[in-house]
Amino acid sequence: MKGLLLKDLYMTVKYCRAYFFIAIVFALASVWGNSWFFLAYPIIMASVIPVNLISYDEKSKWSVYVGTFPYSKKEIVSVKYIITLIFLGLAILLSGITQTVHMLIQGTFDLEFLIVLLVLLPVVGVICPSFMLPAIFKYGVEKGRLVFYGVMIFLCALLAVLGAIGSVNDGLPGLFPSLQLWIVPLILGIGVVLLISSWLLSIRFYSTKEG
Amino acid sequence: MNALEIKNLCKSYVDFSLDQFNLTLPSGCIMGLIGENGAGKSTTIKLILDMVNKDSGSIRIWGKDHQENSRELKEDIGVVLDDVGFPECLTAKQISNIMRYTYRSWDDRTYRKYLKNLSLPVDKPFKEFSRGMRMKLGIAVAMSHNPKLLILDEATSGLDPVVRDEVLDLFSEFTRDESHSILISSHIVSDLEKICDYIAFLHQGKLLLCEEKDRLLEEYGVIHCTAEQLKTLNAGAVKGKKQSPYGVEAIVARNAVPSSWNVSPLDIEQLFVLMVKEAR
Repeated sequence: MKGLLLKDLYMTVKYCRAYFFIAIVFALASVWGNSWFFLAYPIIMASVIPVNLISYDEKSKWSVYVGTFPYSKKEIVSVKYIITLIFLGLAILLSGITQTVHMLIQGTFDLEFLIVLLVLLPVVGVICPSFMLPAIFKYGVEKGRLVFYGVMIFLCALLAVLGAIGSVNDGLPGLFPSLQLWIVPLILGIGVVLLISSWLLSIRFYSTKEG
Repeated sequence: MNALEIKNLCKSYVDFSLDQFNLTLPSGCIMGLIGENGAGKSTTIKLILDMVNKDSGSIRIWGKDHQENSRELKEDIGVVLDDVGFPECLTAKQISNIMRYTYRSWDDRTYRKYLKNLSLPVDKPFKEFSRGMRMKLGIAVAMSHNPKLLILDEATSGLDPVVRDEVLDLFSEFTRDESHSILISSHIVSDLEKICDYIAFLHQGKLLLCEEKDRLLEEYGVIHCTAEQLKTLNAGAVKGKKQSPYGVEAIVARNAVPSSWNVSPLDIEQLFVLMVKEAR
């Protein structure tokens, strides 16, 4: 599977450079702003990278050619989830750093808030790929994009609602006191179950797909 | 031992089906698959490689089931498809790095030798390669991990005659080792005639014929006569014919034709074209 991973990393460096640049710009903007949008944007960008890679795979016919190499269908699917987790990890690290800097500048550093944030952001990040990847493995990139638009509309609405609650409660940290502490691990659990279910579903779809 | 054994293979699509397909490729041999567009050559190759699920039948590679041992078997199989699908941004050097982690027995020195012999650039992205260069790169990758079986789908298409000749020499050299075998499909029948030990004709998902090439050339011949003269022959003697205002050209089994008839040698392309016309 290392070969597949290396191939996807080469492609990401070539095709997704702009995403990194935009993610950094938005992350920096979140240092001076106080918006969920700026904070979550790098996460959303990262979650779209594997979908773009699959799109390039289809265009170059790699998605057929890969069937000639000694990789199982499970590995071919799994590598896209690993790539998702790698870039989500990087985006969360970026958001964590910028939010820490933001709180230090504002003099409102709150470790508990930061931990809750770092737990919730990955869940936001896995929503998009968890719905999109099975759809793409089943129907291909073109039809899978319809799911992408649906998920993006849902996420934007979610961010808008969270942003509104945050501003009512005097900024982002104001949102969290309204969350019961037991809800945080529950949300994390839902995120993990969502990702694992998506992965198993993608393997099932891809195994029956004919190249 | 047989490199490849296909028994009663069936695969149905809405508008096409491969029906009760049987084929055996002995080790150390080259088999050419000849067929029109849509005859089922690529489907057969994808079925062998488990890229498409079969409906029924069995495929064994070196005696092992192709699905149960897919990953292990592919370590020893080199494949070139008619579309060599490397991502456009990758260079030959990056592809080597990827293949090093893909095949246990990837041989970088052999790969570089092929790149040099086939005049392929190391640092140019794949998107800048011509079709011929893409095929050559696919061939270099397929042959650089010490494979024992090469499966080639239209691997010589897009190559100029000189390079095609060089590539055919590479394939012939590959089978000098008796444990090595090749299954090759091509529209360019003359290429297959040059290198193949066995020839298989596919037509509309059915195997019309699978025979040793030399035996085919010995057993069959061409006659030129009138339609009336042709009628005097046994129906079983005629394998295919083409009628024109000037007469009839027919493929016949030499041993079923009276010795007084003038039977000329044929080439594989003639045999294929006339047999397919007869089957229609």
